[in-house]
Amino acid sequence: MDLVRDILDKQLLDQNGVKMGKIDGLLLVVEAGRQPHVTHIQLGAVVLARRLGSLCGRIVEEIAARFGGEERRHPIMIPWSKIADIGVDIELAIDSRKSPLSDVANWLNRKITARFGG
Amino acid sequence: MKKLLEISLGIVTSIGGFLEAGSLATALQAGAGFRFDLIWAIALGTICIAFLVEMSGRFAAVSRHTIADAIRERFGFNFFLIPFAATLVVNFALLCAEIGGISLALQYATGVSCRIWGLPVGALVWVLLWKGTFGFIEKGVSMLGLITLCFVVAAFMLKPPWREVATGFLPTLPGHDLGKYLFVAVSILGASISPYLFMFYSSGAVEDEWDESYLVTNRLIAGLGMSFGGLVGIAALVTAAMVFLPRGITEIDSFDKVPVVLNPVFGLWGFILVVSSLGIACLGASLELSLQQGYLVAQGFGWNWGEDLPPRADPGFSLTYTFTIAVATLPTVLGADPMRVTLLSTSLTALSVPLGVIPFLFLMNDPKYVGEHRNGWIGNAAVLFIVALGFVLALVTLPLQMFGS
Repeated sequence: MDLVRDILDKQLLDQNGVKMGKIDGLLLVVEAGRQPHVTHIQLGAVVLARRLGSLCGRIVEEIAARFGGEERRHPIMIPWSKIADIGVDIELAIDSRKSPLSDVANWLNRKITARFGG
Repeated sequence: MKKLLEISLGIVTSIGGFLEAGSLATALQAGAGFRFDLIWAIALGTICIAFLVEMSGRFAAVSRHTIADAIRERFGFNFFLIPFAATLVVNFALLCAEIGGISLALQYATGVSCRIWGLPVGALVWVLLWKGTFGFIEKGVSMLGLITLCFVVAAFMLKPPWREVATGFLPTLPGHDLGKYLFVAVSILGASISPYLFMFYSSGAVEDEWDESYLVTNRLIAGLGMSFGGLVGIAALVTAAMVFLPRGITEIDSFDKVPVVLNPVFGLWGFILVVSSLGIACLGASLELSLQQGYLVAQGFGWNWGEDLPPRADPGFSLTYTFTIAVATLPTVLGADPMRVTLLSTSLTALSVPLGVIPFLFLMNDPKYVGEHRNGWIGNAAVLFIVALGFVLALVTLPLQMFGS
């Protein structure tokens, strides 16, 4: 498997087929005496910004920390073991409604969408 | 047979390509300024966009992915940002022009200034999207859009010299105003090959849940749908050549000259038909552009999207088009000249063509997405030709913008 070709930037689906974003980054762990291995997939604007360059990454980290709290400085991490199937899309064995990923959508719904009767 | 009813997707797409504010103005300008000489540009644009639309429909039907999805997935985020940013800007400029177009149509109909109409028009577009379904929008726009066929009737009733019309299908250089001729040609091609059209079409195919059983239908819809737009575009050009040129009007520098174009044929009804055509075509294009803005952002970031979902199920998608529409009403409300906004948006589109088309070379040959339905040599040759054409358009747009207009 080629990580960049087959995993990075692919569509993520939860166990109900709900779209959860695209895979924005991968976390590789390199340990002495072992092959490097992927432990987590990463999601969020912070990872995307880091891919564009370290300065860009730091700027977006600051913005995220200021508006969303200090924990937003780091991307959302999903353990590799949660991957259920790898095809053109990547399916996870989790329910997106219970993941922090839905926080922003829920916030938007409470603040805006619901007010317009959506 | 039932599948053929989905031609509405093709008709909506082609209204966005050939009949919205910019394309209609350019087709009329072409006829008034150069008689039948520029028919070839509309014909060539029709063939190119039909090829691209067929491919994006095939891509969506086989892979259940849209073109925007696949650009991010296949080329990665960093590359994706380039066509993403370009299309976002171009779509926004075009939407400003379309909202201006609807407002102008309402001004001609009611006598109330288009600046007043900007906000109500934005609200109308938004409500249709917020409450409507994809099928409702697609069927509604394509049914109402048939009114633009009045240009075809007019073109026939004006009894143009058919031999000269036929000669117009062959590219020739004009005896005068070469810069302006090229500028209009580039605008026509840029407006008809614009990336948002095939991106929208692939999203529409996913909205309509096409699968591999739609491949033949898709081919027919791409051909017939784009021919509809191309035919009406050519008819508008012929009408302008027969009406404006003999009356000494060679410059369509303002929309105010447009509403009378059918009067010699239909009398007062001509005015009503042109104004309704302008309003409906611009409304169709506004809906298409707003949706495409939502699709592009949602697909680029992997969010949920779908016009048939309630907005709470895809807030990112719904709020993207909401925000876009709100901001796009501003130029009209602030009193920007609709013709200038239109010309600016049309030349921006021409700049974005190569960025949108190059990915086709890779996507349409990737077995992971299209399997055995990948492009044959004809398809690939067509894409290569359009990429080359796109580069020419992008390179000559800026200098022509300065000297031609």
